[in-house]
Amino acid sequence: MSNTYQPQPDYYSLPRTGSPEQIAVMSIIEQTISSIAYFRETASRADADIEEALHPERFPLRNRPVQLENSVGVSELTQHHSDLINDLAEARARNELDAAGPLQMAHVPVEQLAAAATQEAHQTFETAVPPQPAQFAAVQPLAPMEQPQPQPQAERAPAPLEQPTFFVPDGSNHNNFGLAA
Amino acid sequence: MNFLPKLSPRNDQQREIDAHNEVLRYVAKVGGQLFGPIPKGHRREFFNLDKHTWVWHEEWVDNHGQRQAVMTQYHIRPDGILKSQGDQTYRRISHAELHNLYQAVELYEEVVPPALDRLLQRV
Repeated sequence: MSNTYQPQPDYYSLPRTGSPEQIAVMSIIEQTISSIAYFRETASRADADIEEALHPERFPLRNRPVQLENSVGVSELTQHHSDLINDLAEARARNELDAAGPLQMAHVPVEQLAAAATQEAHQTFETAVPPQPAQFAAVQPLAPMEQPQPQPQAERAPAPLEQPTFFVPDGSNHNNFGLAA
Repeated sequence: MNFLPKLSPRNDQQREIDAHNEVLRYVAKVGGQLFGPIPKGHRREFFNLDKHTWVWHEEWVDNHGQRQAVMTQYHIRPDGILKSQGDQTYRRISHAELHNLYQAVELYEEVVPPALDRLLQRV
């Protein structure tokens, strides 16, 4: 972003004084600056969401399986239990453990542990999704901005927002403030 | 003479409302010129209505001599940017459209506040 507008400090640091016309202009300047900041913040967030939906591979961290409380992922948890089972099996082979004791863990299928961990992860994902407002439940994707604008063939306007070009007002129009529009 | 204290504030308030609407029209016109020369017979406006709403209004005369108009509103919501055109349905904008709108708002930022600044010096 170049030439970011730097508002005059007195718009914010001083109470609005002046004629009703001056107050109106100051009010719209303040609203404009605030709206642009809000738009930029929201657009950046929406842009990341759209990018993630289109290219999930670019967001490995955001798509990483949810970590459990002990910071062990699903695959790591499965490996952890496999190692534990192997250790216990080896201990039993060495007669180091009582056969009626912890060796019963070896009968718990690894797949069952993994499934439980995965289900927990999914539940966490579901609760992490913000609820959609009811009034926007039927939101549908739409074609790019330039397409829905109906234009007559003979005098078709340049594709709006496609290649925005700064246009210097020619000063031919005037508003009631006596300034070029 | 008792009516003066009541009348004057109301007049000031009305002047501010009128001026606000007039400045908005001025801003809309300046915003409409951000995308290049406006074709003959077209009227294009692009402006920020409030914190949550950006408006694009376009009017033109079609091949049958009928005046056409499309008003597009972009609604800035905490959970994303939605669009409505005439009807009351809201649609989430595409990635390409978001990119274009972002560029437009950046241009708007470069042009409109300084134009208002100059306006402020003259009113």
